[in-house]
Order: sequence, then structure tokens, then C-alpha cells
Amino acid sequence: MARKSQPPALEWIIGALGALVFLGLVAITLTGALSPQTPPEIKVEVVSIDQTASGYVVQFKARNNGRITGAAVTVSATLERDGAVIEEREAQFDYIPGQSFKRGGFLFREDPRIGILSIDANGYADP
Amino acid sequence: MLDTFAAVAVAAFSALCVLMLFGVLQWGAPVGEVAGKVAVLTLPGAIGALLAHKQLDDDESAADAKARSYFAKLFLMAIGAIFIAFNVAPTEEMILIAHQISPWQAIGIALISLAALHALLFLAELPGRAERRGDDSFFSVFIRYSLAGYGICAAVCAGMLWCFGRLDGVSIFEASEFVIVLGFPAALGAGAAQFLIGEKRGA
Repeated sequence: MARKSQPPALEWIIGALGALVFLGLVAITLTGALSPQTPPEIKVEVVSIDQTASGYVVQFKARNNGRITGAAVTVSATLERDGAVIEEREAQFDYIPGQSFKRGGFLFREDPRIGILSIDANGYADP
Repeated sequence: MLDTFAAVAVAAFSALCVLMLFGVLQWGAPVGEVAGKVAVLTLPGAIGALLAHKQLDDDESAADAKARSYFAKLFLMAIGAIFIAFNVAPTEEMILIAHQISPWQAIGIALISLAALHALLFLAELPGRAERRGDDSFFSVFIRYSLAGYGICAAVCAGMLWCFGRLDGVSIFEASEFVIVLGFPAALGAGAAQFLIGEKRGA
């Protein structure tokens, strides 16, 4: 096994790419580590409201603007008409990581476009 | 080539049996759902079938291991990483761990993973070690094999997380922690692949 020749340049290039990936991951994570760890701050925005065969579906995005992950995040929606709540719905997310969003939907019997539809995040648990 | 198809067939059949035994597949489930579940389980099953064949079958000589090229070694590492990562990537625990740890711990995991991969490749007292190290310096093999191997692991993990929809809507900081957490078992798989798939134990 007298293979004393220098390893080809390609092997060094691939090694360098690997090093780049490793350092990139560490650098990204480090950036996350150095920024302030703000608590979960969850904002909900409606994406679409569609009619289905059995009622209406309100699709939404729940975005966590904080840096810390929120677990067991509950989101509730109420539909009011003429000052009275006619329908209430709830959805839960196992996790919403920091600076990330998850999608969900509420199923209504009545048309949520008529009346006042309010959607709020209620709370979270630390993971 | 025939071996590969045989492994896939065995894996698909085993996947079907296991999924039915554990009640994951119900009678009358849509064909698409059945095919999807079987297909997902077939990949790790097929690698497992090939691995078992290599582990238990003593007929082949280990002579070809010595002549294995650089790219064949990287390819083996990729297979090892895929095999291990595929088994843990779909579980909830991987994501749970990533959420529980701080970014500092994630960096620690990344360093440990790289060290473990290097140790498995060049330091562990396993067959074929001296040959792999050769006359090259630590610096040389660390960059060309260990760092390249970790890069492959990270790419495999990122691809797998994306396949299982784990990266949807996730910020780059969280995504990089996911990759690092999954990269730990993947790196161990990549390091062990040389011995498990590539060479005979104690040959």
C-alpha cells in the first residue's frame, strides 16, 4: 500500500464544502443564540374564508414573532352578530417555533364573513 | 442490481406485514394511503435488508474494501446517515429535543457529532482503521473525510426534514437546530457505515 501521492484537489474541495456547511450551521445557530430570547408572541392572520359542502372554513396562519418556542398554543375564534356570540371555535398547535408560523383552520356553520369574526391566540406552554 | 431489487421486494413485503400487524393499515384504506405508507417504510427496510446480508453473510472477501475510492467512502457515509436519520426523522421527539435545547447546546451537539464521526472513522479500534488513516496527517483526513462526511450528514438531514414537512414555515434558526439535532444520529450512522455495510466484522 505505497500510495504516497497527494490526495486530489477535488477531495479538498469537497472537504471545504463540508466545512462550510458545518460552520454555516454553527454560525446560524450562534446568531440565534446571541439575539435576545424574547417570549412567544403569537399573531393570527386570516388567509382565506371558503364555503364548503358542510359550512365554511377559515384558514389562518399563526405566527410566533418571539424567539422562544411556544408549545400547546391554543387559538380561538368567535363569530358575533348583532352583539351576540353565535359560534365559537378552538384550534391547538403542538408547537410554534420562534420566528416561524403554522397553518390551521376553523370550521364554521354560519358564514364568518357576515358579522364580526375575532381570532386570538390564548396562551402557550414552555416546551 | 438483482440484489437491490430483491432487497426492495423483501422490504416492501415486510413493511406491508408489519403495518398490518400493528394496525397502521386498516382494511379498506385508500390505495394511495397504503402505497404511501409502504413506500416510506420500504427505504429503511431495504437498507436494513442489505445491511443484514453484509453482516451475516461470510462468503465475500474483504479485499475490495481496501481498494474503495474516496467517493465510494463518501457514498457509504451517505447511506449510513440516510439509514439512521430515516428512522428517527419522522418522530416527534427529534423536534421536541430541538425545541427544548438552547442554541448553545445545539452548537455543542454539532461539535460532538463531528468529533464522534471523526472518532468512528479514524480512532475506533475497528477493522480497516489503519488503512484508512494511511500516511495522511490529521488535518488532511479531518477535512477530506470527517468534515466532508458531516456536510453530507447535514444535507441528508435537511433533505429528510424537508421531505417530512418539518421545515414548513420554520425560521432559519430553528431549521438549523433541527438539522444539528438530527445530524447527531446521522453522523453516528455515517461513521458506522464503513464497518456495518462496507466491511466484514473481524475479517
